[in-house]
Amino acid sequence: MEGWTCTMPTSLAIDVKNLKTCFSVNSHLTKAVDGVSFSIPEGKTLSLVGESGCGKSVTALSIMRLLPPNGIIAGGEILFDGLDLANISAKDMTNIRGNRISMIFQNPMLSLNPVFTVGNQIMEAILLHRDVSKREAKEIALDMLSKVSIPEPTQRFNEYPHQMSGGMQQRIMIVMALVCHPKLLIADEPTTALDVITQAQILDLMVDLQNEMGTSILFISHDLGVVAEISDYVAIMYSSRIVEHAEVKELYSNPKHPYTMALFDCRPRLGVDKGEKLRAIPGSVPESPDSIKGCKFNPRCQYVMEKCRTIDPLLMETTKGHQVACLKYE
Amino acid sequence: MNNKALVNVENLKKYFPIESGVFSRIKGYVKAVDDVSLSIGSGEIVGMVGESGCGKTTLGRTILRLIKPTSGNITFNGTSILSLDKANMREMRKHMQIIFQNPYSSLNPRLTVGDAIGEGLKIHRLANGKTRISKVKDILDRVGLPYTYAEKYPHEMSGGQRQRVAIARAIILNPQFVVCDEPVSALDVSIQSQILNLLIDLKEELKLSYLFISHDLSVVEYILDRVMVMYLGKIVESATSEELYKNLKHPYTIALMNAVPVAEPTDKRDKIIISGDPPSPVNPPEGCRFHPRCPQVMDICRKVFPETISISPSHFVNCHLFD
Repeated sequence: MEGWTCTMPTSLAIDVKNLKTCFSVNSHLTKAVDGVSFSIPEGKTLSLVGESGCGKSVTALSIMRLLPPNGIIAGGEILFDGLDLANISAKDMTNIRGNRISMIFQNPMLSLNPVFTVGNQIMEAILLHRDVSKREAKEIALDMLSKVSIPEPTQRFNEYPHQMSGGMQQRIMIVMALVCHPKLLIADEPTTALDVITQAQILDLMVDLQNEMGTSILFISHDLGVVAEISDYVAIMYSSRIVEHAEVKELYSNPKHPYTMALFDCRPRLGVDKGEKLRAIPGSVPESPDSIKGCKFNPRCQYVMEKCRTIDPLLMETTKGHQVACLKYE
Repeated sequence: MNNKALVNVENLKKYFPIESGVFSRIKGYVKAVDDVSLSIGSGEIVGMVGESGCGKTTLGRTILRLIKPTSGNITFNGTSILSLDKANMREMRKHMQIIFQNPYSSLNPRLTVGDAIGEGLKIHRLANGKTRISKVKDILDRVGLPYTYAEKYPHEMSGGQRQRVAIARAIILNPQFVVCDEPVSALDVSIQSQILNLLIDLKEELKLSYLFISHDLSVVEYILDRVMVMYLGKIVESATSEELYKNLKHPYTIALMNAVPVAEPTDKRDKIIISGDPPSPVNPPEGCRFHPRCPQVMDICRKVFPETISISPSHFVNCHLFD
């Protein structure tokens, strides 16, 4: 399966080709990412959308080379800065991680170290990757803190994570991630643990910083509402694979894969008639996709056809720039 | 207030003392719930909406007397629950239950699902042995889980399934009133609607009343009969769901609504989003508590606390804009 390749004149920040990641569980290999391809042009945002367990976080961890010990990249290429991240040494990766590619996680409370001040933690990233003195590092850190609109940065610099609200902690995470001006930022559900107002603030902040610094973003989420606010391109993942991939407006105005449509339908949203039931996707993500023959979504699909139970659809371009893996469109 | 109300809360206050030093001298109070009155009718779903830290969870827990209030009165079916002794309160707990936000931390990892659900029956000596097992199986079926799940442990289940177990545990004693504390915000969007539908079905079948706590106005719109918006321990707007969503009044409610992500990509973001975090509830601002963040702040807002104003018989707001 040759994935979506960008033909635009802009250069690509990252180009992932046919990535396969497996986990060995009780000496069995389970596929967590099964032939995923995508690329992100410089300064743009691609969102990976899907339910828990569909492999979106594992894709991110594969790029960061932060898989747990039983996880291995079994195939494919991750092209970044002329290197294949799937095959470089751990030492080379250390130079890239936190420097050229950095990541923010869902729960800032768990990602920050509770026994160091936030200033200390931000400076660590700068001193590790940039050739500056401690004093210069502190200046850079303070400058970034005011950029993410943290009030009284000099005072906050010496505070501990528990003294801050969830939104403030996530801003600190963003500072740590962006302080070395990475080419790519991976944001794994960065707003899921936050309430709606803080979420809107953080999304705004990410868009502003992206415009200013030209960082590309790989944004991971399960909420199509959040994704609409921030993305240029959207890839929908289901059961370890990308099932639909398009430019954001195209995908939202013209969703093609039955799973994408179901994701739109089941969203609780404003303006729904009271008394009308929410449409829910029956069932849940399959625990072992290998046990399902044909299209992995067929047991939950409302348009299922006979051939869906035997033939596994490939990701194909239906209209320009819009790819779908569904037999309906063949 | 309404006499037929199932739950009636009057002037409820919960102040948490802040202690310091070896003698635990009290140096201040966190005013988590500050003079809240509300009533919930039989079969009604009332929503409590606000940001993290506004006191909505404390309010939910205080109504169930899981936390002892500082002052105020709570009646349940006409009985004042604050004056009940331990034994009577335990009896009363059968009728009032709670579903927590995070199904990963609210279930005991060492209990099987069947034991966790049946625990209430055991404590209240309602069913034993085979009857208990069959009751647990009935309730599993009702929340849409196969009865074989009674043997499973929480770690073997997904988030949505765990939340179904938490719901089963809450309804097995046939309560009249359930506090749902953000029951869907830890779940995937696709699972959220399954759980919301389940909660509505159960409400119809079992004639339940809910206090539904949430931070997201879009999630609760279609499930609620009445909405109350809370900010820093106070209710700032309350109305029937239909009325509120058509006619937002309080600037804070409008801000909450603006912050809801809409699944429509647009070129520019022109929504007004209020900045900063809510001020500390230890030292809430003078006058209207929302004034430091309010886009429409006036002089009077900084000095005078706004009284409740009736926009219509079913719509109340605390804001000087409508004086």
